[in-house]
Formats: sequence, C-alpha cells, structure tokens
Amino acid sequence: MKALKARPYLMIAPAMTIFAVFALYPIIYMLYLSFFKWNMLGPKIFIGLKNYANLLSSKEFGKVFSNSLYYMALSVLLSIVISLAVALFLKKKTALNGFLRASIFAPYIISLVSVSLIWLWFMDLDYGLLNFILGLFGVKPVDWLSDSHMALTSLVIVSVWKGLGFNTLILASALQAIPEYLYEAAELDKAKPFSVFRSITLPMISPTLFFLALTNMIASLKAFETVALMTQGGPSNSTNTFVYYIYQNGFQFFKIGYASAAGVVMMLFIGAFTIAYFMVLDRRVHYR
Amino acid sequence: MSTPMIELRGIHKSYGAEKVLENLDLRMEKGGFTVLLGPSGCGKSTILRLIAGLETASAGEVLIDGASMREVQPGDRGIAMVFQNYALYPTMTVRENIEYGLKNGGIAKKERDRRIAEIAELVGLGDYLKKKPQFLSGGQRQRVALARAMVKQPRIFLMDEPLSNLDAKLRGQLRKDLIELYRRLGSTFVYVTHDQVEAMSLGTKVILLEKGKIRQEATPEELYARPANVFSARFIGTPPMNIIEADPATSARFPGARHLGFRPEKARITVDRSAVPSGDLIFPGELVTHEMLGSEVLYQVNGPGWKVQVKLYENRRIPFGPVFIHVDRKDIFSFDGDGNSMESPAPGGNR
Repeated sequence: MKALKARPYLMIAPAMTIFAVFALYPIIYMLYLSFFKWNMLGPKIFIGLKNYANLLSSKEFGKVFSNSLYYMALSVLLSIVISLAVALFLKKKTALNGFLRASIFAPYIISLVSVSLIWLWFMDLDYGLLNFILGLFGVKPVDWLSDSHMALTSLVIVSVWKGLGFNTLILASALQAIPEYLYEAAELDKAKPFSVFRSITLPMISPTLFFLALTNMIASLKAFETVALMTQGGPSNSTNTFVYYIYQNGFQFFKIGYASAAGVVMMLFIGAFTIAYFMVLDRRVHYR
Repeated sequence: MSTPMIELRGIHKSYGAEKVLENLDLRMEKGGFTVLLGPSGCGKSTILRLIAGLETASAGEVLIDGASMREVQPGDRGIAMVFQNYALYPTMTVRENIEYGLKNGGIAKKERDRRIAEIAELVGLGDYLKKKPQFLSGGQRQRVALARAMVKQPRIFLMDEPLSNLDAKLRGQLRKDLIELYRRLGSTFVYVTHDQVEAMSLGTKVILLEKGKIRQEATPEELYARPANVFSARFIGTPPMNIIEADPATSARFPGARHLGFRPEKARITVDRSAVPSGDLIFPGELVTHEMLGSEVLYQVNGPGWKVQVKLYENRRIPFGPVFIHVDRKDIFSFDGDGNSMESPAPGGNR
C-alpha cells in the first residue's frame, strides 16, 4: 500500500529534481543574494533592501525598464501583424507556398548569435546591405545601430525577422484549421472580405493569437544576444534592456547583489504582467 | 409550364479528371419541394452548391427565376442554405449567428430585432439567443441553422442533408417541422439527401440521381408505384423492391423481361402450394429469418440464385424451412436488359 502511494512521486522525481536544481534553486539563491552586497570574491555583506532601493531610484534602471517595454511592445505588435499578413497570404496549400513558408522559417533555426552577426553586417553604416538598397532609391544612409533614436528599433527589426517564420507557421496552421464551410456560410450571408476577417477569421484564431502574443512578450523581455553582440546596450544605454543590464552589473561590474535584485524585479514584473494579461484577455478568447 | 424557379442547362462539372456531372438539365418549379436523392457520389450536393454559387460549373448555366446566375454572387441570389454540419459561426451567439446575414444585407436594427424575435419564437429558440452554439444540442443547433436561413426571407431554401447528423427520433420530429415550415412559407425548397424515407416524406418532387445522371424524376407516389428502372426500384421502399433474374419459366409470361421485381409488402408466404391463388407467380425457396418489427414482420427467403424480403402485416409464426412465395401478377414489375421498366412509359426516366 505504502509503495503504491509513493509511486507517482517517484515517477515525477527526475523531472522535479531537474526543475529544483536548475530553476527553483537559482531563483531562491537569486532572492537570497539580492539582500547582499557581493563582488563574487569577497565576503557577502547583508544590506537588507538597499539593493532594491538603489535599483528603483536609479535613472539608468528606469531607462532600461522603458527600453524593455518599448522593445516588447513594438516587437510583439510587428511580429503578430506581419506574420498574420504573411500567413493569410500563404494560407493556400500549394507547393510554392510550402517552399516560401519553409524559407521564412529558416531564420528561426539559426543561432541568434549568427543572426546578430549577419544583421551587424546588413546594418553597417557604410558597407551594409540595407543602406546599399536604400541608396539605390536615393535614400540617405541610416545609422542603424549607433543612432540612439534608431538603435533599439533596429534590434526590434532583427527580432521580428527571426521570429517571423515560427509565428507564421503557427498562424498558418491555425488559419487552415478554420473549416471552409464557415467561409461558405459567410459568403451566403453577404459578408464582405473585411467583415469575414473581423467576424470569423480573427475570433477563430484568437486562442493562437493569445498564445503567440504572450510567448512573444515573454521572449522579448528576455532579449539578450542581439543587445550583447550588436550594441552592447549603447549608444548611451539606448538599447540596454533587462537581461543585458543584469549581465552588465553582475559580470562586468561584479555587483552580484544588485544584479540579483534586478533579476527579482524582472521576474516579478513578468509574473504580474502575465497574470494581468490572462485576466484582461482570457475572457475575450474563443476556446473550442 | 411557367418559368421554373431553378433551371440547370447543360451543366458539366468536373474536379480534375473526375467528371461529376455531365450535360445535366434540370428544372425545379416555383413553390415546389424538390428532393435530390441518391447514393453518395451521385452529384446531388454538387448540384445544390452550383445553385448556391459555391461552385462554378465547368460548362452550362444556372438560372434562377429565369435570370442567369453567371455573374451573381452567392449572397445576391436570394437563397439561403442549411448545411449538413450546420456551419454555425462558433464564435458568435445564436442571436449574432441569425443576425449576421441581415447586418451584411444592410437591414436596419429595428427590422432586424423584429425579425429575429419572430423567428426565435417560431423555431423555439427564445431562451437560447445569448448562448454560443457549442452549448446547444444537435437539434437546437439545427434549429439555429434553420432560423438563420429563414430570417433572410429567401425565395429559395437549399438544404444539404440537414438532418443526417441527428438521431432517429429527432430526425422524425424535425421532418415534421420542415413539412410544416414548407407549407407555411410557400417558398421553393431544394433538399439533398441519401435517405429515401426523407425524400418520400418531404418532397413534392423527387429527382433520383446515380453517378451524375438523373435516373427518375417523379412525385413520391409515382416513384413508389412506377419505378422507371431497376436502380429506382432498388432505391425506394423499406425494404426496397426485390429484383430477381427472369428464368425460362417466367419469361413465358413476361416476354423480353430480364429482371422481375416486386415489393416486399406485396408478396405472400405459404407452406402449402395448393393454397396459392391461380395466376400468382410462385417462387419456391427457404425461409431463413424472421424479424418482428411491431405492426409488421420481415422475412428473408432464399431461393436458387436469389434472396428476397417479404413484409407481412399479420403476426403468425411461419416455421423456418421450405416455403413458397407468391405474388399477384399485377404487382410484378418487369425490366428489360438495360434495367428499364417495361410497364408504362417512365415519366422523366432515362433520357
């Protein structure tokens, strides 16, 4: 009897162990470290909530916070809108569409480091592909990565490009799952194309949109590689985002406690944001 | 004959190499309840979808009320369609489902409200207007589909096997509702089904199709009393007509006939050959099954090279084993080598 009761726990023990060691323990340790001043070598000095006080009063962190929100909002919005447009365009199952879908999916499987290096070249001020193309149309070269007004948007472009294939794939399969007879019924109901899109297509794929928007949001709040490789947070912190800021403070300035406090704030923010997102939008999603 | 409500002229339709309809001509009269009946793959749904404009014919023309529909969009044809799987919009409430077509048709809010209230009352959906289709039963969904069609006040109702997803009891109920609805509205109905009982009970005219060709076009009464061919005879009736090959003994009485047919309810069974009235055709065979169905009993009798069913309305036990089936001469149908009826000229039969 006793052995039977223990069995389910034994079965999930391996997964739970991995979760505990690699997720739960680091979180708790981060929380612990956030109350200390520590440079990784010297002794840990307990300073209570001082790290949090410093963090929240830091102008730099305010900038990082707003950068992260801007990056998230713009990249999620562009990702969803562009991939939905592409998915609608590629909805029909033809050989050409299959090829196109595979092609735009390709960036998704390339390492983000490689992607960053490719785009570093694309966006080069003097020798980049983008400025070359713009030049053909007589447009003045854009300083993609060193203009503090442009750099963050440039990183958004890279992130949208990378995620486009995946988002399109998911949306295209959601579109294909909408039964054809609904469109026929709408045709008999005199529905105009825009009305069909708004009243049938959008509600039918709303669970997918809901899911994609959320995963994209969380992923974009965790952006790191592009920042680290392409701009190092610059110019003048204009592209510094959550994770890069944590990395900077932890492993460049060796302010481990301070970086941990930033990590805790970021975790709480994402958690609260996700809960709010569910509370506001979940009711408006149609589940089958 | 006055202008038919729906006319198909020389329709060809193929999907790739597969020809579904070939040179089909069809007329459906105004205010009629026409049933397109046939086994799956006979092209009946394709005909309906051509009328609706959801499919385009490879050649030929569809006319509604005398006007060519070549350039007319499905929404502008004055038709409403009820789909087999209802095709309700799952993200909309019952009310929104019914209202959607009216909204797109530019009908004012006040008039929409009035019509929806009226229809909801008529089909008994008043309590469900705010619900989404997924919370309704099959029968309720079908009523919503009907309401959505009716509210548009179309001149033609197209119905594609609307009852086939329902259980038998509900089907019977909705069949009666449909007849009542048809009588009340007086619109033109076109109804597709593979169920001959539905066709017989609903239609004022039945068009029996096989492999894209019309095999018989007749009223239900005619279809039962005068099948134009073996296919028609075998399709209609519960159970359908018995068909057996003519042999030397019978061909003396039916010269030229290749197949003989009789309805299960017209045959008699006896164990005593001398009791058979003179003039009746006699088939000696062996009684193998006995199914008590309530008011009637269904028997299966096997003979050399044939199996027939006999339906008797008297409940008496006939012992299994050798029996004689006998049928009155006037209840025998004879068919020639092509399977066509040799009795009376078949109205609208093979062309």
